[in-house]
Amino acid sequence: MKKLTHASLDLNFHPVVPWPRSLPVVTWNGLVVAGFDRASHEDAPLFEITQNRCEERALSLAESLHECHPDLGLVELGRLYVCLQRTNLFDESWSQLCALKKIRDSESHRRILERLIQTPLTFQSWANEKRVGFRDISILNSLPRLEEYAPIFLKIPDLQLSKSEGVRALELACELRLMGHSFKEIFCDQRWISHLERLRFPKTTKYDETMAATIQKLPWPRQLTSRWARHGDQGTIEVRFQIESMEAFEQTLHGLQKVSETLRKNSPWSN
Amino acid sequence: MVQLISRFEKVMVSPELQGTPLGQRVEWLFPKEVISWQLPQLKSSAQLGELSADQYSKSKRTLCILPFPGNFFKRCPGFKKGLACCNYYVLNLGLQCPMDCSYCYLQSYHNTPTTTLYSNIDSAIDELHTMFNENPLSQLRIGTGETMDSLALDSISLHNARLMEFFFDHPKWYLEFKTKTNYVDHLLDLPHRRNVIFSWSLNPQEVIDHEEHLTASLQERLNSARLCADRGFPVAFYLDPLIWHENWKDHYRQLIEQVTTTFEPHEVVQLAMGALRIQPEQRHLMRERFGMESYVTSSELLPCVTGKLRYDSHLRKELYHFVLSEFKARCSGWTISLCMETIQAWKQNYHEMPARIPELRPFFQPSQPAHR
Repeated sequence: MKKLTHASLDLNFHPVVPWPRSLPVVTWNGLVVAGFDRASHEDAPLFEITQNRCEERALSLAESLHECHPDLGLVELGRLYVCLQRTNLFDESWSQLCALKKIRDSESHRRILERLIQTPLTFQSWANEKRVGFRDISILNSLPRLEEYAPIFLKIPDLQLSKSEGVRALELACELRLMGHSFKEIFCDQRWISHLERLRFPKTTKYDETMAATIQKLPWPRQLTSRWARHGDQGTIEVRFQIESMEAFEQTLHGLQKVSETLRKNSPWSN
Repeated sequence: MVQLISRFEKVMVSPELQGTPLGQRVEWLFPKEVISWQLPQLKSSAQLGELSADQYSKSKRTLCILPFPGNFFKRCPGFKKGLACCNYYVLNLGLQCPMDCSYCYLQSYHNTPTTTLYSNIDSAIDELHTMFNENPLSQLRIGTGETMDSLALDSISLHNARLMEFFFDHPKWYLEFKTKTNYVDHLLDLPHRRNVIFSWSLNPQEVIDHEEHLTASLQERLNSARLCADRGFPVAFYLDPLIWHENWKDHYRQLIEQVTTTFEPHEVVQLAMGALRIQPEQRHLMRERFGMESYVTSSELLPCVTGKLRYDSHLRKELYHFVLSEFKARCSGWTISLCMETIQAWKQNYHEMPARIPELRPFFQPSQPAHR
């Protein structure tokens, strides 16, 4: 095992998971690829990949990075993408790294990575913790000036949202801002996602509210609960009842007949 | 309408086409400096990622002409569980479109950085011959406007004249050109047996201006349709996609007025409508390319049973009901079907499946072609 002398930290992409203390700093042709936090200590043990052929050939830079960091999130990948661009090894390494990571090396993905690492650090930590994918944060490519959306990026980690809630909130809030809504309109203290959906889908919300109110006024039998429910593009009446006797069953059917007559006279579904 | 082919900044042609009539035509149509007799080195489809907004826009200005090694003939994507299918077949003679509609479904899967035009029309016609020989009694409707506009690039390829020859000899089969252009002049004098349908996607001029970039105006489309009808060609209209916007009723009413004052019901072999729907994944590219000012990106689209995003079913019903009643109010002879709609939507709007509606039955009754 060699001792570290002059290794380059150009590729320090600040991995989230610390490199185990029991392992040496790993370099590839003088570039540190793992153990960045200890690379400044001259006495740190060093493992130089290119001088230690594992198989018939030495590992490439991309392979070395992949071996040392098999499970990178998009934020780490974004930082690594920028670091690699500072070297003259980008062209040969990036595509290979993408292939090893089983991600597509497209212009669109590159742009998402560049933009993700420009977001506030708290958002980056959230994205990393939730293991977001490219599709989850595609909205970033639609934002003309990323810094103007900072309040949204700061709000999401603050609210302890799940991954799907956070992704949904991010897209809705950014779209609303793009549509000209102010942050004052976009933010609210409680039930943020419902609030965003109401703003983003005002006609559907209004229709659902009208239908819910109409449905509530119908003469439903007492042993039955009903509500207006939305399932994607369909709004429906959901009815639930429990029957404990034949008599109760017939009573319920009789009650439903009254509802049916009311609906026939004044259908809420007519245009 | 703008000259679409003049928008190509680069034309790459397969070297084997040099000296052929198509190759010569390319040389005649395009300045020498934009033509390259070399094909681009494209990644395999497994390596290709989705195109970025810039790459997608650029693909509309880069033309690639080459032979297609696969099958041209396919069943329409409307043949899917959950949708009412009108037995339509497609012949794909290229991929991508030089026009730029904000809602175009090609944005959901086109991942080639060029507009592609297939050169080997003979192979496509051979396929048609084989299909016909396998099913000589079948009555098929075949359209060429699924993955490209049927007429937008025909001034380069002249494929449609060749197709019309085949359909002249096979009068039981119908060929449909679907377009948003007014490029019909070169086909008007060709012989036909009333089995070549010229069809237009129609929208109010307000929607065309806002969402259907580089396409022919409504008036240009209707004028072209009139020319075709006057030459005895059947014409068809698709009010598809119907797009909700402020004053939509006024705009669609004006459109219907224009259609019904220009055509009699018997002149229009098919009139169909379909409300806006998109694949969920295409919303990102649409938003990047057209912003949120578009009537489409800013609309309220919700997931439906088939996985697409659509308007709320109640709003769709309102759109369909309005269009249907406006046509019927002008003349009861107008018959309108739904395009790419769910079984539920048919039942909501027509209270029946299309195969049970006498005037729509011819389009929706099952045909018996060989399945490929």
